[in-house]
Amino acid sequence: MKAGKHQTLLLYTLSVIGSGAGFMVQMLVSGFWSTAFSQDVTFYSINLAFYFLALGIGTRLSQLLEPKLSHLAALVVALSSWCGLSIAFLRWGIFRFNQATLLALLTVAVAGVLAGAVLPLTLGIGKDDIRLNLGRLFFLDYLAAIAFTLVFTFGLLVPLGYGGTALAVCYFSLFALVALLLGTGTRLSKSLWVGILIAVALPYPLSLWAKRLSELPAGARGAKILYSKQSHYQKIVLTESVGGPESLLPGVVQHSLYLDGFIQFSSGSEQLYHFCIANLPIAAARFNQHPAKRVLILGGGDGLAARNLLAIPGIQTIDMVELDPAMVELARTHPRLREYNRNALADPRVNVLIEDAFTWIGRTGNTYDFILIDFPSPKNLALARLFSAEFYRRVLERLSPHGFISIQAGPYHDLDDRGKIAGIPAGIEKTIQAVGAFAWVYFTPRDADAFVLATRDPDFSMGAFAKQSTVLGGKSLTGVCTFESEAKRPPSEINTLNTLPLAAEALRWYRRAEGSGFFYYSSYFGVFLPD
Amino acid sequence: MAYELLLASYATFLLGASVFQYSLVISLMMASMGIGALLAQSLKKNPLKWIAAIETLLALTACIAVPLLYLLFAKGGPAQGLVLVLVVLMGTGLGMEIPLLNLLERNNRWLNDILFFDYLGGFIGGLLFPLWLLPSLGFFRLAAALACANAVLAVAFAWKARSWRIAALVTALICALSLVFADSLRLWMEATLFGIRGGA
Repeated sequence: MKAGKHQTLLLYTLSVIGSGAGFMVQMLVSGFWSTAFSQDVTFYSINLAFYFLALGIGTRLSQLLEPKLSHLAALVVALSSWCGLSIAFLRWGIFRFNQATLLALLTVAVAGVLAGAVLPLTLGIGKDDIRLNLGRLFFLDYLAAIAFTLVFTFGLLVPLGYGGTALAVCYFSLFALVALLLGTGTRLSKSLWVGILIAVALPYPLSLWAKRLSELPAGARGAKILYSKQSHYQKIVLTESVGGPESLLPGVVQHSLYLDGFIQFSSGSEQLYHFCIANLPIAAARFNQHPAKRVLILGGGDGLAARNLLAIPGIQTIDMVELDPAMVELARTHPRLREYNRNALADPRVNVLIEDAFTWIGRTGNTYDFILIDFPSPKNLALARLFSAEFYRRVLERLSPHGFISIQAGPYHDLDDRGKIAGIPAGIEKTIQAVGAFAWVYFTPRDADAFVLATRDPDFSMGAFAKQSTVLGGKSLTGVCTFESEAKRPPSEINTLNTLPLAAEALRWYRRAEGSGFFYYSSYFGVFLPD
Repeated sequence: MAYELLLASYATFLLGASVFQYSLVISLMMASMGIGALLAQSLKKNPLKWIAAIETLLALTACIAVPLLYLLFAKGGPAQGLVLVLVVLMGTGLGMEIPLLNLLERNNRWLNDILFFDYLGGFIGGLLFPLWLLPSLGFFRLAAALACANAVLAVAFAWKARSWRIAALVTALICALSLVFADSLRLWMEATLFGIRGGA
């Protein structure tokens, strides 16, 4: 009787650990891969699909195994160990083969086949056991999956990263398993103990090795990593490099900030960029006889746009809404960044709010004369929603009647046709026009950053402003930021929350431009992979 | 499977933070399915009738889920809360299906076949969802199409069980209408809630 009770407990626990660890591999791989390559929906769905297929195959294959406790234990040990190895395997795969989607699917499939065999094997062993019933087992298995995943998302991901979480789950499972086997006095064969030893020994050193492996190329290219952190929202990396003889600025020290592997600013070109996104709309407002006093910055946590605005007389307050506290912290404390933003975030006129811009803009009652929107390009859905008509509608409601909006609109040129603008700025222009604003695409000529200027004021004439502004401030404005009304527009759709065509458009552009300096995985990608 | 992906990705579209939304929706869906499976064990009487009832309710929920979420989001309501409620409701219903089907015929082969086809359905759903279903249908039409599939099952089971027939038929009608008018509904909601003109 007592032995039977022990066996039931053992069976339930093994089954629960098995399905939890298997599910965990699936979640970790999906999260890691979709963050690394900015493809959320596609990757989650396909990964989950293959996991389910593998579960089915595992169920079928389990009929080949004799239902014995030692077989079940071996399966669960292998599965836990595989969980610990999964992220290391992926890092190695990305390093070795660059975009190895197949490896991710393989990782998930192995986990699925192992996990799929657990349930039928448990039922096979415990078939004479009246305490073991299908409903309860299903329930416990599902519960294990949710417990593992919730602990991962809310507890482990930020402090440990994907790799650390994989190891934590692996060692927790193995520890629980061994404790239970010893506690119930289950007798195991020698080969199973050897298996457990190997399962314990492999994951940790291999993870360290894979992490080191994927970070090597950065040093080889002479770039120094000044700061690297996985925040809750993105991987933030600050690098320092000295321009080589073949670069535009040989011998000049250059600092660059990357978010999830995409360049956010580079000290060599950021002045042009921020002049266009911050100073040009201010000049437009002055030309329009309604100089801006109250300014809102959405995104722009690096503080560089705020720096430009603080230098303009007449601006009274700047509210800044940034999602990621880690970004603001960096801009406030890192000596290099504080040098670039001239400590703008400590200025009493600047009011920093850590909020999701979409939620905040729907809640606030303030109105602004100038709203500067500086989000990363809409390369995934979480970003593309911040370029949607619904969002712009709320932004326009917070804009004074003669106010202006400037929007970071990604790369300017179409890759095939230099006389045609890219789909991203064209889509943004069309989207904001759909909610009743007048909008124009403009850009920095040299490195082709694009922006969209928008207003609700029907009396403002972009043509007249562009002509006039050449003499404003004694400096050629149109020489810095150019506006081309006759550039060809590609066919584009309005970006609404229900469709978000911009995400696909941006991905298409970046994938085709890979290696041209916009997307850095191909050169020294290891640094930019999620932790 | 398709419902899970639908809710997770729509939540990402509306509320952002994809890793968070996917983990939350997928794990909560699993837990609800577990509860559903446990509940189904106590429904030994007349499983056919229960299946018909569950399919009807699932179809109705699927039918209203997307428009309701969009409306709530536009009005600044607790859209995240509604996502969780929908996940729990649908998960419980879906979780009850397999044990109930299992009760229809008592042998191990039948169970194995159900499990296998369940996994196979998951695989096909997961592949079709991002590659074909979502890009070609969009959320409004996709949700309505899934609801229609459930409604067809509901009618079939209701006929076999000789109960819930009228409810299943009415639901099927609602689902069919919502599929036909899915795009008009979306455009109308976009225009009235956010003033978006000229959408496609």
